[in-house]
Amino acid sequence: MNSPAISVHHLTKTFGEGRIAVHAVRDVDLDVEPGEVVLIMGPSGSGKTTLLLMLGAMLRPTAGSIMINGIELTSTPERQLPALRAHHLGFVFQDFNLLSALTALENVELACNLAGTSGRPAEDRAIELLRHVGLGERLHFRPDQLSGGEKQRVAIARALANRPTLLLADEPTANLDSSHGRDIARLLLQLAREQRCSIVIVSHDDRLREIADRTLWLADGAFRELDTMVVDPVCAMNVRPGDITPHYLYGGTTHWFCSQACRNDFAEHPESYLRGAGQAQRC
Amino acid sequence: MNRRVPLARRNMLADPRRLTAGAVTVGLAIMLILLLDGLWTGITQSVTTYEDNVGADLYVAQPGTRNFFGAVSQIPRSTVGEIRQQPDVEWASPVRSFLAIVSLHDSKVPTSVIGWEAGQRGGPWEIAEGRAPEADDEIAIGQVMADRHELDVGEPLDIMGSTFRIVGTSSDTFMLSFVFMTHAATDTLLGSPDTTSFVLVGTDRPGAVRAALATSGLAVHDRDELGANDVSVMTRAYAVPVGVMRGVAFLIGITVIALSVYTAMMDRRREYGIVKAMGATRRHLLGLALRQTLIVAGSGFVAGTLLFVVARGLITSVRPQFTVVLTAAAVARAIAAAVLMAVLASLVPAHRLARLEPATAYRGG
Ligand SMILES: Nc1ncnc2c1ncn2[C@@H]1O[C@H](COP(=O)(O)OP(=O)(O)OP(=O)(O)O)[C@@H](O)[C@H]1O
Ligand SMILES: [Mg+2]
Repeated sequence: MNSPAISVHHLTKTFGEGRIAVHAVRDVDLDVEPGEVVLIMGPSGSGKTTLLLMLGAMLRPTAGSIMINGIELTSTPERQLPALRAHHLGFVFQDFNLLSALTALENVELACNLAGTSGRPAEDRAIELLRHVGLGERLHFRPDQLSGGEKQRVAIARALANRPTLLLADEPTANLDSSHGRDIARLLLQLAREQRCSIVIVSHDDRLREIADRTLWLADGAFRELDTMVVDPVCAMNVRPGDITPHYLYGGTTHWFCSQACRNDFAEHPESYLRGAGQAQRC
Repeated sequence: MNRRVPLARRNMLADPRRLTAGAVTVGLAIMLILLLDGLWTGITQSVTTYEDNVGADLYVAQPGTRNFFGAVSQIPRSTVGEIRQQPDVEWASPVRSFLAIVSLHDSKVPTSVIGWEAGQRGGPWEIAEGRAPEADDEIAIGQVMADRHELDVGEPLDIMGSTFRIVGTSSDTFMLSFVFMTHAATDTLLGSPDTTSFVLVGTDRPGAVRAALATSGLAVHDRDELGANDVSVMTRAYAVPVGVMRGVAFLIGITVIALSVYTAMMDRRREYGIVKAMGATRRHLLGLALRQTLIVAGSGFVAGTLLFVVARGLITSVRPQFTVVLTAAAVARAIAAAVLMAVLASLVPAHRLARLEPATAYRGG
């Protein structure tokens, strides 16, 4: 089985037409191997969510093709897309998005139900997954009784309930503090390896690079080479040096920033940022 | 049947106040439907109370007569004898029936005067107090009428210019106040001796008797035909308003169910987006909407039944003459109404769910 879990060619999405057209994703190619973890980074508005929605069969591309498990998404009729999502895809969202009236167990079980498993087998699978993410003691807690990190664990268990080929995560750590964010990142990696599921993560969070097999940089709707990128010493985001990119010459080196605000902060106390480079998570 | 996560129930129970408000409002609509049904049954039963109790199989009257109450039928008294000649007739007795307005000290009361031959059929079937009239100046009046107008046994009562003495009370209903007197007394009141209005016939073979009487040209009806005609004449005035009230109650029920489920869904719009993102099909979502409207309708039905019991208790204590009859059929109709409300009410939220973008799960909004 060496064929990719997902294979994307010339994927393009344009919102609107004519003068108000927004080219959110332009001619993107991407192959993700089974079990591979791909991190997609990029500035706000670069098309990350749009790309993820198309991979998740929730948004029709303007052009191009997406192949998952040998199924061509773009030619699959609308009616069959829900079943495809229920069986082949898992989703993790930035703000957890658990169903508030259901317990942790039921949230996971519901995903099993939608994928066609019900009754005891669904319950067993849900319990097993929740134990696995360390929530064996929290099965009957509702989301409002769980911490942010615990909610995201439930969300991960839910995303894996249907044994997806591909798990799509949009900013999975954005609403978590750094230690919980790191835990969640490691958990994702561990589960992906165990369940042999490929993961595409979209994030601003540089810490996720630790777990990624590959990091891609999306800018203006297209992938760029990451080695041309540098790290903003204030907020640790990846920045592409360019004519209009904020920069500051200090100690014989040009430092690049994601925004004018970061540049100004740096200019005030350059030494403090260069000593603990990239620690502050602000942008 | 394998257990599935009861999302519809959990979502509705998550907001008990909304569910209670919906259930009580739908309950009021269901209560109204049950009350109207019960009152209607009470009315029709009371309209046919004479036909139901007097025990005649056939009613023979002047050609063209279709009703017992309010009919103007006059046939020769000799008809009774002719009918008795028929081979299959077990018994036949003359009954006079007409409507009369009786002036009481406080009001004018429409009454149904019935004259019958002592010792024959057609008179009061049940005496509550006193006895049945025997002399031509004696009457028995309905109990409801007696109670309502404080008339007692032994008191005089003027009817169409003649004075009668009340010797007993008989069973009657709020739709019809009966005044029973001798047939001879009605002959005098109407000034038409040797006539009668109806000949009541008892027979085991009504078909044969009908056929035999066909040549006479007289009107012959059985109990059911006459009863149905009486109901349609006496309730014609109520049919439209009662129908409108039922319809309004039904529409209110649908609207309240649809609104409470719709608003509950909109509060969790994003969560339904997630359920769609997770792969819920159209059928899942339809089922989700229908289950929620059924929950509201079901709780509404329970609330409505309780409210109905309370309302019926109130009505019978304040206005005892009204009978509210709860039949199994009425309960079945109310259940059917609640289910139909739920089905129709589910269309709006189901449509909204179908249009919801799964992408709302990612983008919010
Ligand atoms: N439904 C839409 N209609 C029109 N334009 C849209 C729509 N959705 C997204 N866009 C535009 O497409 C571009 C890419 O948006 P997208 O949400 O994919 O960015 P992103 O990389 O996820 O940003 P962020 O990091 O802020 O989440 C933006 O310019 C956005 O305004
Ligand atoms: Mg985004």
